[in-house]
Amino acid sequence: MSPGPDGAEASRREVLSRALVEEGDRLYALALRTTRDPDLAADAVQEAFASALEKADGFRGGSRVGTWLHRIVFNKSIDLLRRRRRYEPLPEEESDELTPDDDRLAHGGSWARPPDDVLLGAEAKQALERALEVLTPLQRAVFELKETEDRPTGEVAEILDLTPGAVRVHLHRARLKLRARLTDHFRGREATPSADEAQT
Amino acid sequence: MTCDELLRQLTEYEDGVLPDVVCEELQRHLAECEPCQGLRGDLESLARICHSCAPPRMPDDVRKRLAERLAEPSR
Repeated sequence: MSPGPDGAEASRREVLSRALVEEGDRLYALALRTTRDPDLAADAVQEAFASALEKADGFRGGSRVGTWLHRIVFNKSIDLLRRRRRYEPLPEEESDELTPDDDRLAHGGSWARPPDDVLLGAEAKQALERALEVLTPLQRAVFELKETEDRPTGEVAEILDLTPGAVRVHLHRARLKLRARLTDHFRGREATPSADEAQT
Repeated sequence: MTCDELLRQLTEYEDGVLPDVVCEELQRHLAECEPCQGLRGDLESLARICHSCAPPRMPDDVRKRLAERLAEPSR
């Protein structure tokens, strides 16, 4: 026998409460990365949970609750950006195909080989944070889910309503843009030879 | 395989969705091409920076509001 309306709602609240504990930080991270605005990110997550509470049908699909919630958070983030219209291209305005412009992005110089204390230091992290400005909201979302969280491409595609091929295109584009942007930061910071190596 | 061809197939290669024969071509090109090795090295470094960053945490007040809302019985 299926639970009545009250039982179904109680069960939904329980599932969502568990998801808040288990996935809350990652849901917020996706919203923050997409919007780059802590207030908008908080609104996106709160609106997403409110929506999830109302949409009983959402749990009946084949996807995991976490994947489904990530999808709602991403959509809410884009809705909020759209409402504020911040001169950023929205997902439907982006090409899912690689173009010669993407190829050109790769033709800048390589980073110098920075030593680990430079590569993994606070300055590099700040430079990455600044560099993320050049990405579109969709590219930032793909970058967060694929590069930072190492999610499988199929899951990212499901969250962002893209094909796996499109996820790879947006990831590729995001990485090339960031690499180009960070080249200046790492220029001249290559590992210097030690005194012993310099004498040989 | 040219540098641009490698570039366009690199994420597919990393995802393991390319046919074996293309993977071998790509690996051969990579072994011989310094600019492509530089690119690959940069992308690996980028991933390392990413993984070294502390992930953001949901602010406590947002989490608290949500937990309260989810605990509310329906009216």
